[in-house]
Amino acid sequence: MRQLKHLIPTLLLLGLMPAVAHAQLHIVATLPALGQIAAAVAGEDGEVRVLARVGQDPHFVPPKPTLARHLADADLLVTAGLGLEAGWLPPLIELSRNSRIREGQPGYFAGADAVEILGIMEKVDRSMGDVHPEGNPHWWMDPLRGAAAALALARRLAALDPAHAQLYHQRAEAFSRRLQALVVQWKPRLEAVSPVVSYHDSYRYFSERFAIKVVGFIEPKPGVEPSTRHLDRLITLIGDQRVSQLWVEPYHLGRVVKRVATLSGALLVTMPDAVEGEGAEGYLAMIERLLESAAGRQ
Amino acid sequence: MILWFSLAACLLVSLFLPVLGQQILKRRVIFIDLALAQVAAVGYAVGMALDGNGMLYAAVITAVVVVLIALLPEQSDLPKEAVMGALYALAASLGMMALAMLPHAEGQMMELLFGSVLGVNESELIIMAVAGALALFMSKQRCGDHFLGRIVFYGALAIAVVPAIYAVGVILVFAMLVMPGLAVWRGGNNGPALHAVAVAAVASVCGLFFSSYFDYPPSSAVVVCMATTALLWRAIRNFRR
Repeated sequence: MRQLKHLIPTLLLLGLMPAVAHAQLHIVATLPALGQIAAAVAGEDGEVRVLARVGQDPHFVPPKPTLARHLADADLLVTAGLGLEAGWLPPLIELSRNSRIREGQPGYFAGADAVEILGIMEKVDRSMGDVHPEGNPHWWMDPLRGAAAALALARRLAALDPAHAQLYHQRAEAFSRRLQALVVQWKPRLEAVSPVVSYHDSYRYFSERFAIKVVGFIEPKPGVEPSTRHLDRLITLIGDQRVSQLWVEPYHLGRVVKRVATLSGALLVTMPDAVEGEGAEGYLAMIERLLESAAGRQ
Repeated sequence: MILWFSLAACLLVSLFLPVLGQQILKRRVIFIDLALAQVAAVGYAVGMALDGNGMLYAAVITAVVVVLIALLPEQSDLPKEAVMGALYALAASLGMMALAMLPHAEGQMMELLFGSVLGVNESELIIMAVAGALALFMSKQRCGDHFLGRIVFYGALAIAVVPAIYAVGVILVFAMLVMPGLAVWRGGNNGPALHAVAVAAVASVCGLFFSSYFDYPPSSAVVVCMATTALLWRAIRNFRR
C-alpha cells in the first residue's frame, strides 16, 4: 500500500509529460491490416492506433467518441483510399478538428495512391450497386502492394520526422523483402488450384497476384440482393468449371452463402482481410492464412 | 433450385402472415412485429455475448417482453402504436450497445433481422410451417381483452414472426402482414381472411417469377407485386360495387 502511494504521483507525472518523454509520432490507421503495415514501418518511433477492429466490415465502422479522440491527436492518418472508408471516416475527421490529417495534407496518407489500382470503371451508375468507380480499394490483400505501400509510407514518415528517416526506410525495406520472399515461395504452389467464386470482388488483388481464377460472385452488385436466376446459374457454373472454393469475407458469412455452398458442394472458406497480430507479423500472418486457405489447407 | 425453395418459402408465409396481420390491423399495433423482431435479435446478441445459445436467449427474452406488452390493456389511454415504436427504438439501441462489445456478432445479429428468402433450406421450411400452424391455432382462440388473452395473441405473433423474419427478411414479413389485410379491408373492418391469403399468394408467385425472369432482387419484387395486387384488388372491388 505504501508503495502504491509513491506510485500514484509518479504515474501522474508520467501521464502529464508523454510528449517530453517520447518524441513518438501518433499514427492512426483506419483498418487493422493498415495499422500493421504502419507499425512495421514506424517501429518504436511511432505509436499506432487502429479505428476498425479485426472482423469488422471496412465499409461500415460504427462511429464512437473514442475514434474521434484518437484522430484528434494524430500526426498521420493511414487509410486505404478510393472511397473505401467514405461512409464513416470524413465525419470523424471533421469531428476531430485536426486539420493536419485532412485529405491533401501531409498528415493524410492513402495507400491506394502508392500502388497500381485495378478495376477502374469508365461508366458508373447507381444501378451497379455500392461499387467504387475510382477502382477496387482492397489493395492490401496483395502482399506486393502491401510492400509498395510500406515503402511509400516510409517516405511520408521520413518527411514528417526527418530525425528517424533512416530507420523508417530500413524497416520498410526489410518488410518489403519478407513479402517478396513470400510471393516467390508461394506462387508456384498455387499454380494448379481450381477456380474460385467469391462473395464480392474484394480478393481481386490477391487472386491476380497468384494467378487464381475468380469465375463469379455471389452478390455481383454489392449491397443488392442477387436474383434467384443469378444464384441458380452460379450453382451450375460452380459444377461446370469445377470450382472448389467459395471465398467469403468474415462479415458476409450468412445464410445465402451457406445455402449456395450446400447446393453446389463447393467448400466455404472464410478469407479474412485482417487477423490479430502486431505489426509485420500480423500482416504476414494474414497473407499466409489466405495463401494456406487458397492452397486448400485450412 | 434456389427459385423453388424461395417460392415455397413465400407461399408458406402467405398462408399465415396475412391472417395474423388482419388481427394486428384490428388491434392497431402494427409496430409490434418490428419490435418483437428487434427484441429477439437483442436476445440473440446477448446470448452470443455470454457465450450461450443465441436462439435460447432470443426465445426467453422475447417471451419476457411478450408478457410485459400483455400488461398493456386494449383500452389503455396510452397510444399503443407509440408504445410499440418506443419498444422498437429501445431494443434497437440496446442491440447496438451489445454489438459494440462484440464486433464479430454483428453479422449474426443482422442475419437474424435481415434474413433473405434466397437462403431458405429444408429445415427452415419445416420450422416455419410448424410455427405458422401453431400461431394460427393460438390466434383462433378467443383472445379477449384480458391478460391471458393478450399473452396468447402476442405470443402467437412472436412464434410466427421471429422465425419468418430470420428466414425471409423483415421487409417481406412486414409487407405480408399488412398489405393483404389492407387490400381486403372494407368499411372499417377486416375483409375475408381467405382473400388476404389469396392476394399474398398471387403476389409471391408473380414476384418470384418476375425476379427470376428479369434478374431482380426477389424479396423486393414480391413486395412490389404485392402492392400492385393489393391496389388492383381494391380497384376491381370498388368498380364492381
